[in-house]
Amino acid sequence: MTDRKNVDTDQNSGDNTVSGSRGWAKLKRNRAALAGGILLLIYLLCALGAPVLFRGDPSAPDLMNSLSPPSGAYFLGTDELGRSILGRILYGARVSLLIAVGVVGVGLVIGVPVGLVSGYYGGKTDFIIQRFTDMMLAFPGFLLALALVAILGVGLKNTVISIGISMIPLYIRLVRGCVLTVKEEVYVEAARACGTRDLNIIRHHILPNVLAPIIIQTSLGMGTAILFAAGLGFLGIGVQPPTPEWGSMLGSARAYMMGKPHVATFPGIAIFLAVLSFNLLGDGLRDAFDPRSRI
Amino acid sequence: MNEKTAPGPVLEVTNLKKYFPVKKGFFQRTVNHVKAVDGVSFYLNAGETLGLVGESGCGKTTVGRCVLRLTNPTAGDIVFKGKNLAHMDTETLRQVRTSLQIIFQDPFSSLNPRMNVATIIAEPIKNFQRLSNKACRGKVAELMDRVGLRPSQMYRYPHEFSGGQRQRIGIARALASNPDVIVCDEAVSALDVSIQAQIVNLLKDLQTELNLAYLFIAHDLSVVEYISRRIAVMYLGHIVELASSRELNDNPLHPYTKALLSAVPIPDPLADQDQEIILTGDVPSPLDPPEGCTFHPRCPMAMEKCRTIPAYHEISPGHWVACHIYPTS
Repeated sequence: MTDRKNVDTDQNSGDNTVSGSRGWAKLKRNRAALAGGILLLIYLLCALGAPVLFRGDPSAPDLMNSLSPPSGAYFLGTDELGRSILGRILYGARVSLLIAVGVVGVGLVIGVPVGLVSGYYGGKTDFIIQRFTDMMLAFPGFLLALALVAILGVGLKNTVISIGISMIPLYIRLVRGCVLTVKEEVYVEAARACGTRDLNIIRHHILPNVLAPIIIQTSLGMGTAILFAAGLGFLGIGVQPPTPEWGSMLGSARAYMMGKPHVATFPGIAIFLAVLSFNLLGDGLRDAFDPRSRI
Repeated sequence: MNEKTAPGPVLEVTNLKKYFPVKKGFFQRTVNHVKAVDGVSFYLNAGETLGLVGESGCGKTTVGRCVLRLTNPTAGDIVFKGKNLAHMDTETLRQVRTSLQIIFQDPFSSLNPRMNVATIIAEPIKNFQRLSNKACRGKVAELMDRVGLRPSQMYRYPHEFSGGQRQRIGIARALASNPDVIVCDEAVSALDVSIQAQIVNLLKDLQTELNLAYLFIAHDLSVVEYISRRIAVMYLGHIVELASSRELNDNPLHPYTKALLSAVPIPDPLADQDQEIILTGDVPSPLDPPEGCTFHPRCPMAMEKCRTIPAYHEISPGHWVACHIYPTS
């Protein structure tokens, strides 16, 4: 109750930002977001502790034990080449999280500055950047990534670059939209009036006030990145075997779906839970920090 | 009151115009203009206060913003200490902003919620001087002390302060670069009456201490009369009358000024209230202002002649008016 009252006084005072501590409190009370966060932590631990949790080479074939069901020796069974599915999922978490971070990194590093410039300066600069974004957004995201892979070629690095580029327009749009609201704020005008240079206005006044939506989009974007990467892997044009990757595991398990469903099921669950956890966390962050959702 | 003025105006605005284009259609063609400010001229002496009053939408805030070049004027000259700001490049303008500052109306939205008070007040200092962090903090503490804030609160955030305290932060920020002129854009309008008095008195004290000149924009005539030496009355983008505070109060000439003055409540139940002039109708749209004198459709003394533009002329020393009732001699 008390918290509700706080929010009210806050709105009365015309302050439309949520102070950090209250946002965190709200996030902690959101069970779904908490579950997402914990799940994500588990993934992170799996990725970091893969060599400890699974001894041996996840890529070493053992044809004597191919397609064996879950057992004491192979906790989640083996795939068509007799490789432990558990081991491949654990090592696959490394690849997937790496892709997620890399993709969002590409999106942020290019999308955020371009969005800031586009929104802040407006005019012709904005027009040119926005028409370019329109062009990129005209393709469905996955199709754009697919086309870029076709140009760049397969592999981990190219997967990250293509999915990253396909996400840039989303960040540009998001950041530009937020900048358009923030740059009309009186404190931005006040900064200009006291002789602050444009670059410092963007850095100290605009960026901190558009950070919340960027963080939210980062979390949601990581989920999408994993899904896209798995999609490319499934089609055989993502990360190449023998590197363990969830999507390609799923792709090669497709042939044994009827007889040995466990081969496809476990990587599928891994993808599903990873994407879910990012989305839950992202939604929770949005509820906690995005002022627009507090009505 | 503020008699120790230096000779010659520190700020002189001549024939200032600001038209906002109205764009329509797919190709965003300009179909019309909102004439927010249409030919405004005034000057401001060092150390004095010029009040600028008028009702909402008459263009007084736009005048303030144009003076600081926060928005680019369509035409006119803004001469500040001998330099014309109207056609100045960005970097020179930035340098000028050390001595030309503004205090905003809304103390809530004019402070960045993610910066602490020390950072907010230090911003203009850091823009123009290379100071060590310690020296900078010392200066911030001094400024906070000067505007009546406790320096120990410098690491707090704006939302932890009340409206009046926030406005003091805004004033400290404006003072930080040692300005000569401060535009007070409705600086007390958003505050409670008791706080208004405190802030107005603070502004007056600072003026005497630092020899500041204020362009004091407000819609509350009683506040403006209290702080200003001279007052300009604006209506629909024009200055209709400009006179010293006392002269305007004792001898208002323009019918609009008379109406404004009669609307100020007199704190005396026995005072004669009969002379109240109540204006009929609304302020016309600045998109399509009336021909001639823009006030004539609402003027109780309108004549046929009022369909032509009245000249803005000096009727007695320091008393300017734009009205056909007072012919140019």
